[in-house]
Amino acid sequence: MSTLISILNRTFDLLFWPFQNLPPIFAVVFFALAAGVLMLAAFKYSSNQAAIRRAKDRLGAHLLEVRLFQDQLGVVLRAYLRILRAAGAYLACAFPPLVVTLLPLLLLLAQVELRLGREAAAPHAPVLVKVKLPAGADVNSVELKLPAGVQSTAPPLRIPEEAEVDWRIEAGRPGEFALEFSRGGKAFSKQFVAGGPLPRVSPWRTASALELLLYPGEERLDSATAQWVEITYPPREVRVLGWGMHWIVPFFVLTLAWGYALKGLFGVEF
Amino acid sequence: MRLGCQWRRRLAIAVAVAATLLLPSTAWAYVGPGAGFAVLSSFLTLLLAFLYALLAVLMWPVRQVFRLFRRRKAFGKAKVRRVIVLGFDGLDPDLAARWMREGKLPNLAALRDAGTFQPLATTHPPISPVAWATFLTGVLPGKHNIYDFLARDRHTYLPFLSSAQIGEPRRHLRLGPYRLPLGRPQVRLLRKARPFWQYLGDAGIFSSVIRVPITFPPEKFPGVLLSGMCVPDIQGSQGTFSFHSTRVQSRTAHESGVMLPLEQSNGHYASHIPGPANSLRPEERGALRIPFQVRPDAHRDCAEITVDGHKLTVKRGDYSDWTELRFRAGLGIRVHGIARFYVKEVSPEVEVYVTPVHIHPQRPALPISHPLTYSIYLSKLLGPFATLGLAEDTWGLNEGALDDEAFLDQCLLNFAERERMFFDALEKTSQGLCVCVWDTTDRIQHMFWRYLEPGHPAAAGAGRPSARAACAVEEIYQRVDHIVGRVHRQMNAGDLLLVISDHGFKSFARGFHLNAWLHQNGYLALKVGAAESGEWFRDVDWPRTRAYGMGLNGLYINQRGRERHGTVPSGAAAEQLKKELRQKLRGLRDPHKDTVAITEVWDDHTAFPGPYRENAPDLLIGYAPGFRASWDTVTGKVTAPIFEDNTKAWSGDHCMDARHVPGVLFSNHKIAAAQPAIVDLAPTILDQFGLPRPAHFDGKTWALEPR
Repeated sequence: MSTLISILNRTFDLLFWPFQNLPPIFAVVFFALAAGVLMLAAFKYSSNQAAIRRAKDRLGAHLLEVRLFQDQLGVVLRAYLRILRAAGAYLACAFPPLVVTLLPLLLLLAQVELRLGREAAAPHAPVLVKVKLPAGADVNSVELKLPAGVQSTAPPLRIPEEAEVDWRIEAGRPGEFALEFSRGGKAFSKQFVAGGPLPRVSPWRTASALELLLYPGEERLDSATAQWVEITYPPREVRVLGWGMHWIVPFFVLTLAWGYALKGLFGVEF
Repeated sequence: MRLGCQWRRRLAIAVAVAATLLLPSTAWAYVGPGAGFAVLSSFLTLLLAFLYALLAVLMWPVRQVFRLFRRRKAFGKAKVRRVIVLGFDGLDPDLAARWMREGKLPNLAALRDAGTFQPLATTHPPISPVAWATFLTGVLPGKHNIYDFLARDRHTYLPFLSSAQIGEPRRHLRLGPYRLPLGRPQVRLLRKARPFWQYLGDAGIFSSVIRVPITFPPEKFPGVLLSGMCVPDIQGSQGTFSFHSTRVQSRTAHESGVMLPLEQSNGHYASHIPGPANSLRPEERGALRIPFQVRPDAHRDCAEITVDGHKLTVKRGDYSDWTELRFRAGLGIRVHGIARFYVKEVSPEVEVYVTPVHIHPQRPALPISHPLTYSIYLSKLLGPFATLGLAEDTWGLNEGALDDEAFLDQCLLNFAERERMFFDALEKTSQGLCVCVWDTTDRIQHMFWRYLEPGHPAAAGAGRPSARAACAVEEIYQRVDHIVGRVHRQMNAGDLLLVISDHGFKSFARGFHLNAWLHQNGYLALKVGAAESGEWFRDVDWPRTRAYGMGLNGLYINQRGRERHGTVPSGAAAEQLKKELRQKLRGLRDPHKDTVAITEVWDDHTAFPGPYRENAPDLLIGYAPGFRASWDTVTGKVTAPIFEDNTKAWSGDHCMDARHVPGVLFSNHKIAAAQPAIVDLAPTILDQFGLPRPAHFDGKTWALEPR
């Protein structure tokens, strides 16, 4: 798994390289195109196109039925039931491509989130570093060793009830740093990024294999030492027509737009 | 073992579903695009449905108040809740009676026993567009202006479609080589008088009208309507098939069709489907076309056809499904049509027949339904369907592009489509009028009558017919019977069922060359040196001609001041000439058969009372059973013989003396009417819904007794 994640990280580093000095929306447009094409290919090869066409036609027909026979309540009510049934059939037809693309899309989106989800910490702006220890662990057993260029701005806060230790730190200059933790003779680290145009920002390092799919920026932790380490980077906003929003919003809309725009080219019905 | 596989499969599906559902909540955003495609579409649909529902519920009381305010409470005086009219074009009372006697039509026999079975008097002339126009308007031809399929242009002596005129959009925009239409094509209905369902609509009674002839272009009324006979194909004709063969060397035009060579290249055969003229680039010669390739597979006895992005595998002797064809006119503008492919032969020669390209019901180039969305609704619900008015390609069989079996298959496919449409309409029309016309009964009798009648000239030399072809007429009557039975089972108390036809059928064994007779008797003159004339009076010398025949029963006086080269003064001279022609033609005998060929000739004054009599033929020829106007007469040819055997597959007909070819009338009610006629149906149906008979109607109202 970690090999796959590592390959993906490097691949996406390369893919993001052209967008380093561009507004993030350009990257969103590009990766939305990739996701749209992926979905189209999935629909083309894993769905029953004839069944989708039939289900859509039936949906359309029953909608028109409501309009055409609007004075006949019995017909209209039956049409609603048929609309529901046709919608169900349509969703069922869309399920296989959904399953097929679930994992690849998850990996793609996690990579985009790594780069567009959070801003790197600004130099001299404090951020919180949180370490969650295994249940019942002694919160005094964990220590943080700061690298050169990073300083602590407050003493650590140790919360025994939640097995959590928090630090407040800030970077003195832009750069990528490694925060070194030690607990009971075992060491682990966490990437900390300050400044930079479009860096890979990992807000979360986890011991959970499932969560690693969603936060693939760093390798998995040993669950015996810590459950997760989090840095509270500020969220990044992508500006669209002057409005700031999370990248997933334009990504979702653009993926659909690409899908609809290219479906004729792919000869795909959805 | 098999059970184990099923369990494994079920387990895999369950795991997939669980994995999808149990992933962390943030993952839902990630699956967005995939789910989005599906969910967005169905969500929009459901939202639209909800809005419609809301609107319908909100508007319901408003509509009721509106109706009460206008004192038009529907069904207030109605004697029935629903009237169902099943129209079977050409269903003959003699054949129906015969097969009922033989126990082959049990449902019709039950209807006869419990209700009514009578001959139904048809119109003069007994031609489908005339009779159905009378059915739907309640008036005779002099008031609805339809006298034949064709009418004549008095200026050019050329024919035009009598029921509708299709013209270009009023305005265009010139853009380089393109001429962009600004607006829709002008489609004008030439039929006069209101259909009776408009009177029902005025009273708030809903109607579903399926494929009743002479309803193109569709008119607005409170109900749904799908146009029938006279809807053109994509070329604007009444049906032009194309036949592609390796036996054909070059393009040859035939009656209502074209034969094209299949040319070999790179292991396949190529040809093209002719489409409409490119109105965007009028200077460009030639029509739009769609190329297609055929790869015959003799081993599997089928052919793979690649056309317009579709790949079809069609077995020899089978039709493909309806296939969407897009003719590209330029600037992204496409004309959509549908066609079926029939593979006639794959080895040693290759032959493919393509039906006329019908207007696509889901993307109609011309309005073919009311509302426009009705044909879209039907197409989405039931799949594409034949929209051409004369959907059964009789000329394909006449010209040998189709054989008996292929033609029969095509007919039955259309028949089944109509059946599905009708039963959907019946389900939607719980109150009001539901009427549907099937044409297939007419087409099959036209083309297979030769096997009903021993010694018919069209059967001579054709070899022994297949068992199916020999029984085709009987089979279609049995299918009619099956539909009647199905309808009967779905009827409720208070429903009135009427099973009707516009005319009956008789043999067409001998053709009468009316123009040859007129020529040989000195009424029609040919140009100097010409012994015969080609189509549409090419060699007729009009300034010396006094009368001419055109269409199936019409005879016209070349009247001065009316026709461009008129020679006969109107008034007494014209009346005298008509009288003279009537006397000579009435009782005219076929010397070869020594029988009367013409039993009656009607004068327009008696046959066509009404404001549009001036457009009618001056005389109407009533042929005896076995006779009809020859094929050459219909198309304005002048030939040497006066009588001729009809050897075309089109071997049964009804364009004769109307008294010989009445239609049928079945009902689940007892009808107390002497000599019921097709013109009586409109006033009777209005009466059943408690509405008064409009003063201009020509028919009488029947008294009905429910069972």
